[in-house]
Amino acid sequence: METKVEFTEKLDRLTCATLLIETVKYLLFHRYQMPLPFDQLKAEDERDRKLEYARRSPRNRPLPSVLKKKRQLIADMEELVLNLYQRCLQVEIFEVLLLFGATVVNPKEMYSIRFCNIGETSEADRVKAECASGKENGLNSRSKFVDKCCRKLARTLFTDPSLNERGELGCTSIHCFILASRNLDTTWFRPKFSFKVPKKGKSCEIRIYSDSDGHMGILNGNDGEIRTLQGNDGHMRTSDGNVGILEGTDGEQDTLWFQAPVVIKGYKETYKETVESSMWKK
Amino acid sequence: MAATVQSNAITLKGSTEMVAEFFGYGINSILYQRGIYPPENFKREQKYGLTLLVTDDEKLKEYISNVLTQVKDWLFEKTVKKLVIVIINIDTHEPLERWQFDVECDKTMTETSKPKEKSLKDIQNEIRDVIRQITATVTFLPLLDAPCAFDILIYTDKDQDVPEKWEESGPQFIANSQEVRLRSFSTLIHKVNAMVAYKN
Repeated sequence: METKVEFTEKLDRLTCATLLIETVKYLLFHRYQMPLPFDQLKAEDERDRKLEYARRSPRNRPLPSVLKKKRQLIADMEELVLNLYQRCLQVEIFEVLLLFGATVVNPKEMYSIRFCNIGETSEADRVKAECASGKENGLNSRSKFVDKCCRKLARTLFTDPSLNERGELGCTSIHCFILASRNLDTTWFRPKFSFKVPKKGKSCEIRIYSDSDGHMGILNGNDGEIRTLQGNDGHMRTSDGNVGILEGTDGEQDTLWFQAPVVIKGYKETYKETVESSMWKK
Repeated sequence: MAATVQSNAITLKGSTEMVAEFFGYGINSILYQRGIYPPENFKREQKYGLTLLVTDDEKLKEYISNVLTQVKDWLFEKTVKKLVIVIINIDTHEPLERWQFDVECDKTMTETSKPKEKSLKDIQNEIRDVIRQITATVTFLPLLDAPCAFDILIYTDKDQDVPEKWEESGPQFIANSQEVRLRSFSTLIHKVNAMVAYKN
């Protein structure tokens, strides 16, 4: 299954990084791993924390387990989103994989996100991206153009039939992998030399296309230009294995899968249902 | 009358209650999500396995409750065709968003008909998915940066008498709008199809 998101404009690295984050957030809500879209969940939790502080509750009062799960999910997501965003601004990420399921070997569902037809990064874009990667608030302050692109992405994902035909997915773990240069300088993402893209489970490819005057650039989408290597032994294979060589504009480049060290745990709010709604005026 | 919604069977009365209740939560969710009223005017309720926000403002509560009471009668009579929530710019009176819920009724059902077989859980899950979609629309709907108000329109059969406190109204369509269909749900007696149109 493939979902195409097509932009008629050229997308710079900053826009791609934001679109990637928005796709991840959208998928987690869409696949029932959080009860509200991530930004709303976070805003709601911030309001709750202010109220808790105002009430001056005893410091060691244990939190209900559902609240603990919610706060853990928010903390893990923030960490993942920030690291994905920063890496995406600094280096070329060829593919992002989200695996929904208890194990990475046999996930229930898999989503592969790739940008296609992105032009070469200009020097100005590179400087802009460098500046933004140092700021955590880069994620929160968006230009009108980026905001417009995010809304278009959200609308396409929302209306895409292939994403909507799946039924409810129970709460599970979400593992995130990125395919990047073997030389990626990161201490947060962990290299996974033996990782193989799982073949079992339902999978969906999300391809985000940019118009860059037909110039195939940093992320060569689904045109099969990734030749793969098996493990870290340097032997080239032609099958779609785990580690690859990507033919970009700068020639061949070794790539490797890196895994995010946090596993997001989906959660459901399982409160007792309000018996009598206050919605009806007595 | 016997229980209106048993775990696997639903009567006309039970279906009416469920659809009217959905409209109540749907209207409240739209008003909250679209920022028509400040978030502090809403409180949480648990329904359909979700945490939903419901207004705490007495006047607004009364208004919505009056609308729902009337809608319930029309649902029971199977004469309601659409419920529309229009979001209007207060300064220019221009409609900016139009949430439309089309209602299809099984006209053969009466109070004494044999209940239809559909589990309460299945209906509630379908309703939950519609409400979740209303929540998700904020990711693509344009920001409402001007002060807005809302209006509720009900389309009924033509021969329906207009109640005393109601008046006939125009459709308040949006010029050059974009439309997005949402999911639908069905009790097998009433089917509700949702969509939102917004100013491009």
